[in-house]
Amino acid sequence: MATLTRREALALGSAILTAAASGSLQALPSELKIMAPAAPGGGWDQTARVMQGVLTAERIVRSAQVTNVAGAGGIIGIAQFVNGSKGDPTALMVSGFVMVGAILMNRAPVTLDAVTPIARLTGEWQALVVAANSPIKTPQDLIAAIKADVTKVSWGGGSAGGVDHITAAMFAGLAGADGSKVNYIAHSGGGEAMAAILSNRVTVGVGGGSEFEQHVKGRRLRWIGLTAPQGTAGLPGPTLSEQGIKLELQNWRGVFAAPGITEAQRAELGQLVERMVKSKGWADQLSAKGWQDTYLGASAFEAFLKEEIARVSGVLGQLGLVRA
Amino acid sequence: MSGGGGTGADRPVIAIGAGLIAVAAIVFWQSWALRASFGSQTLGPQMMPFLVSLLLLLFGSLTVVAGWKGTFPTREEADWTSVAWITGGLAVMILLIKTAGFVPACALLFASTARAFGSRRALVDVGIGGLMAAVVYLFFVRLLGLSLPSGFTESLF
Amino acid sequence: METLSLLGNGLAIAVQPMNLLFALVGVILGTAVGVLPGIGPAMTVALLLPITFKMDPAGSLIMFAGIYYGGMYGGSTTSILLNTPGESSSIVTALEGNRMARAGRGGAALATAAIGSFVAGTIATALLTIFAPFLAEVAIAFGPEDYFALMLVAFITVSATFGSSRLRGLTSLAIGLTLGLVGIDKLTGQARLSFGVPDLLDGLEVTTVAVAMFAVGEAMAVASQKGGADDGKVEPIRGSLWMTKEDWKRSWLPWLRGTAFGFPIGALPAGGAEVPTFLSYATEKRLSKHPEEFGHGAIEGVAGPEAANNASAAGTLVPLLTLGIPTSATAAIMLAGFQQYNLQPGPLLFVTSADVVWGLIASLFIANTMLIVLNLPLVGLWVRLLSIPRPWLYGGILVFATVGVLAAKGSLVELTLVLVLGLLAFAMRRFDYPIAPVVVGMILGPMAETQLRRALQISNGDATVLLTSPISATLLVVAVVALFGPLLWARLGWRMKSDED
Repeated sequence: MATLTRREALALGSAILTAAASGSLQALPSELKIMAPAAPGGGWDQTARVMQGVLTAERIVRSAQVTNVAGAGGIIGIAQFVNGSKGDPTALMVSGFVMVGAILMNRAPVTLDAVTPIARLTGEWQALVVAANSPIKTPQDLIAAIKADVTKVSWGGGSAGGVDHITAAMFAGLAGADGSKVNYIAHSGGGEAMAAILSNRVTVGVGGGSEFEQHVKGRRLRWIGLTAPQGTAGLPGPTLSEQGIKLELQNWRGVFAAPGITEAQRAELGQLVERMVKSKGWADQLSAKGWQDTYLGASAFEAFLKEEIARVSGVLGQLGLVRA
Repeated sequence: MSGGGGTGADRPVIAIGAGLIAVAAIVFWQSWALRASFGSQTLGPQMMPFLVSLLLLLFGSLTVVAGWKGTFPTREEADWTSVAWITGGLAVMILLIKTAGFVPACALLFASTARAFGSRRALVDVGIGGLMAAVVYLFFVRLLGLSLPSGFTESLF
Repeated sequence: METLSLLGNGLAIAVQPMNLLFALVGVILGTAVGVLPGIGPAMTVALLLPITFKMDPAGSLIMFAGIYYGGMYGGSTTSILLNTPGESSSIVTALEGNRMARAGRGGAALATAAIGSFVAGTIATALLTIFAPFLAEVAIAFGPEDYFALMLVAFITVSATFGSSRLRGLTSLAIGLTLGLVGIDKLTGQARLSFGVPDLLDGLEVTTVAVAMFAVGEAMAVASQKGGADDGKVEPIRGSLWMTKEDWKRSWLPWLRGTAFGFPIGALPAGGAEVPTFLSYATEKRLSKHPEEFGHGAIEGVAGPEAANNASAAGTLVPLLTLGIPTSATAAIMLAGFQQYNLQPGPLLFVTSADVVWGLIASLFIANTMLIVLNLPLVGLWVRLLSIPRPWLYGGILVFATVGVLAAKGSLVELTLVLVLGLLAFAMRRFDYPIAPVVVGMILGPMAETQLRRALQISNGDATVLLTSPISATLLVVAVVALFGPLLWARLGWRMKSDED
């Protein structure tokens, strides 16, 4: 062993490096705890359970456990996550756009500042549609109608202050109208809103792009535009920006780690999630569920989050839903 | 027991009426600051709370009158210790479930309820309650993958 | 005829041994979770979705359908035997069903519930097969003003069944309306009566309130009785275990009427499963030859609402299959199940995936048959539950009730609510306030409020929409008749009697 050839030395060196790398892999959390701050069945829960499935099937972690803490747009879940998992490098929480609004509107004591951003995972673009027999045919028609009288244009979508409402207010803002004058009719659950849109009871419908796909293809609804930068595969119509209106908004979902973890632990969790996102299992699940991959790594996600919170809080403030 | 049946004032009933009026006041006060912040909402978020508050005020007042006249049906004498055992069982469960754990909390609730219904074999009751809770816990958590609140005991299995 | 041959193909798919096995697993799982308050079919299907990802689509959808129908059966069993409704749609069943069980007629109550569910489920599934596309169009034509009028009809008819004292009945209703206010206002997103507690922002869980007021309040009331009173005494069987000839005679019409309420209202996007059970109960009480038995265990009050509840479950599938509109939590999860296999429910589903749809519909018939075959022999066994010594029976009920509440929402706030509302219910029982109106007010109040405000919001504040919509106008006439009709009929009836003399 006294005399190593150059090649042997290199081989040894790389073996040590590999060992170190795999050693750090072994040091990775073998058991992950993923919290879905919602009841079983919703988008966050499904994201958490898909993560669980892919992370274990691809052998990225040995096991993963999903817990549900339901309620109030996730603000109960995040409070419990922050209190219960401080400094725990094996704890993750799924979250998304909805939680940003819920925290602002309910003035939740625990905000997204308290947790550690790891990655944005998926997103869904918002679509505007009208009933097939509506006189409105293009985004420009809709803008003209809003300019004529913003209160005469009724919007049907999900909960007040939610992503659909924010989309409506931002669109009206682009048309030069006061977002708070928008006659937004909130519905609970997709079914009720869809019935109101299909029956032409509301002027415009707003919701996640895939919700309307079938009805646009079946010629019951007319596609006005999508809040995406460019055409999204599979969806039956153009984006708003392709039609000259600059409105980009996605209902994103991401994953956060506990507060108080070290930078090294954060980096390891980031790598783990990145390996998951790049796996075939993840791609398969996304295409099965119709989710768009809008992955952003930790630092990009953190910057995005900052802007997103500022933007949402601006719109909600204008709507009178967040009081200074 | 101060039973009514048309003979003089029925104080507990008057208290119920006063309680209803108090709730009416709370509902009114809590809903005062609500407003329709956007869009064209003819009936805002205050409409229903105010209506409910009005109903509570009306029925509360009528209850006070009924109590004054003593027109409520008479009540039998109650066995307050039994009620206290059930109430206490639930209260102890709330206190213990996140510390001692789900299984002991349920076992105590079972035993104290059984005590309220006249059982005198506390140890047997705790055993049965604990067994039942353990089976339920395993079914929910292990089989269905749901999360139940857990404490010290559950960390053992 | 084409429908029949398609259904025949569907049956051929559904009776494949593997699919029969899936249906069996589904109904057993569904019954098991339906029995537990708090966790229902929606949550079970949600938890199973990731597991079934790699399974054959027809098989797993058949299993989901079994869970759905099984959950409806299971919910009624605990309502009747333990006064602990498993789902909000079986709350009404508890009213008369539990009285019957206490009087030794639990076997008959369970049997009429099971047979009624079977009859209603079968008829409603048949209607689904024939009328689904047509009915879906009618259903989406229902606007908020029409829903408001429907809620008004429900309010008025149900209020007539509130027991001896009008003041106490209406006070209970107002308490229910107050509880219904708690949480975020749907139309403006502002919190009401939440006192800064985040757990209250989503409003009170109906099952939590029902469990606390029925099971816990009742346990306290029974325990508080000193010796002599035999109200709390439970007799497992008195007389026949099964339904007597008289029971059949009194059950079959309520089954059919319950179906007539349940199926169309279930098909409405915002109809829900509770409203038809309320309407059925009120109707049966009015039409019964034995109205005095209501509140003490009238079999019609079990037969009608149970049928309504199951028919509405089939009704929910109408908008789901034909328009891809999920109208209940379970339907929303089933939609996710369809999408997992790239099946998009909607008008095209019947064309593009005919096998799956007709296989699913056929399996609904099969699940229904399986459920009755499984459940009827079990009636005898279930009733034996009541022969458990009283201390253990009530201990078990309380543990069971709290566990269900915790499984739905695992927070201490929820348990505290059970305690507080249990004490409230005990006090109400003691002063002879009826409990059912609390639950009615809590369910109907927010629905009526939201729909009225939404109607006025869409019309920009023009209240005449309530009268110009034909559906709403008709329902409002029904409401007025329901309000003043009894007075009129009472007079006419009195006059007719005096004529006979």
